[in-house]
Amino acid sequence: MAMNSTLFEKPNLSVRIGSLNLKNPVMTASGTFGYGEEYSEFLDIDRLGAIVVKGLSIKPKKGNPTPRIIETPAGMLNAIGLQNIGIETFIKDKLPFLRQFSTPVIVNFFGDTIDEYIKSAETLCDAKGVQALEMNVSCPNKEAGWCIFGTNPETLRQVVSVVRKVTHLPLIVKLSPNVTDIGLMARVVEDSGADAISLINTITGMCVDIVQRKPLLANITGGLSGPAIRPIAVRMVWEVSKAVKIPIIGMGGIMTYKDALEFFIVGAKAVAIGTANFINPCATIDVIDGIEKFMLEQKITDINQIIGSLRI
Amino acid sequence: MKIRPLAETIEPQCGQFYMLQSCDNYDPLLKRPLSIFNFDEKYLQFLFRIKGKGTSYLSKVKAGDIIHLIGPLGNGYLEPKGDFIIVAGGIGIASLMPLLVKFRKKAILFFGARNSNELLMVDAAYDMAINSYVSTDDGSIGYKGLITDLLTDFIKSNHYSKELPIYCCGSIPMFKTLKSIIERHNMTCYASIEEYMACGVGACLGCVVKIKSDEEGGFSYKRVCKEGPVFNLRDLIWQ
Repeated sequence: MAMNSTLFEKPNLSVRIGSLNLKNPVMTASGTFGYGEEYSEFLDIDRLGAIVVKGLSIKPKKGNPTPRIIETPAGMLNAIGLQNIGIETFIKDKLPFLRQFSTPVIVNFFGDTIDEYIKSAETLCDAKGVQALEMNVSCPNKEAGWCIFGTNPETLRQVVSVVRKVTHLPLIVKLSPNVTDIGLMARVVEDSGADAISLINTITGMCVDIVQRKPLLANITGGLSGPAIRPIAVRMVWEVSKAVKIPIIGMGGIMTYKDALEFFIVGAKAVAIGTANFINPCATIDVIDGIEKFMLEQKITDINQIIGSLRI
Repeated sequence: MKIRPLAETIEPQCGQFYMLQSCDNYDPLLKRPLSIFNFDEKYLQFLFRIKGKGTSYLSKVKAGDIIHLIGPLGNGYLEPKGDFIIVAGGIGIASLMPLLVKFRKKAILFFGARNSNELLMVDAAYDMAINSYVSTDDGSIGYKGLITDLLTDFIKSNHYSKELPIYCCGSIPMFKTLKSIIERHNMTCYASIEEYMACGVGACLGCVVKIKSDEEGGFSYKRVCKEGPVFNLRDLIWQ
């Protein structure tokens, strides 16, 4: 009888990302969940491990001309152009809504310059209800010929180090997959003082209209997401988990709990659901329920027993 | 296509839309936005043109199959208070039909399409309108030419018509011509817009259109799924 009762006990899904305690390891990926309000009529926000909001900058950004999205086999290309309402408006208009939930709010932010990164981090740090910061380093650096911050180890080190100095909040750096050696980038980020790493951001791609001979996106190139990129994301999370000791948040094409489990096994301590939210607004909840059911079936009592358990 | 919702649903407003998907093999990955065409207590009905993979799959759905859908979504048409004009281009009739049904014999219908085969549901629409004007590009039915030509003639010979609001759904060239007509005659026009859409709930920011505003550059991007799909035609800016 005693054994039976332990079998039916709820498994432990809580994990720690630096000083951040998550009730479960499933969060939303930045840019796919708006500022939370958009999805609140579909699901119980309180059930999420964390909410990562749409990327913010000091000044509001209009974003790119259209077409901004195009569907590809098992994926989609997007070039939204970081459209956002700006940090000030976010704090004033959106954060009060998010504060009513127990779910931690992680704010994704970016800048065109190092100075903008510093200002963004400082402003967000002082805002009540922001529990962690996620730095997007996949955007272009205005002061260095619009090269991507996160694809050069030196600019990456520079921008992460300065942001580290101005914030006491847990700092997550979201890596770009558009690099030759993701492990190297991860080490740079760890050495620069980040508390956690999230990956992967979208993979740069392109689609062409063969009759018009024109790119299908107004921006010419865009970021590929969806199940098409999942094996690449799993591989990169595995490489990063071998390269660093800080926690990893894995993402890239997770549609179901089975996809999420692959990321945990290769070393992710948490996962983020992105494009799947567009197809199924309850995708995050389905993944949480699926993981719990799987653990019950497999008699796994703690999610931490799965994390980094790859057998080779 | 007629769908019976398996869960309780909210009654849609004229001009609202649903996101639909009939397959889960990730190709196509996304749901398809379709305007509500007709509905009652039991069923939701959609009229659509097969354009690509998603609509092709939807067209092959058989009785008894299950379709995933989200809706009703977006802001529909501001309901007319008296008589009104409808301008439909091709499959655009799908979005406007609920207005004809709800406001029987209140609309003057202008319906244009490429040819007679694409003039869908024209008989039903004809019965519900006060009177109807029809055109095709190839002249297979009605006037040979653009529906906006017929509208221009109508406005010229019926001065009271300038007071009537126009409800329209069609192609971008049609919207552009209509825009110049309503600006010339100082008329009001509500246009239902189509854009590539990923989520349908306002999160992805993929489906935006340029809307006149006081912001820098004279415009701001608004989401077709959330602030639309119906906009005041006067405010829309096309590149």
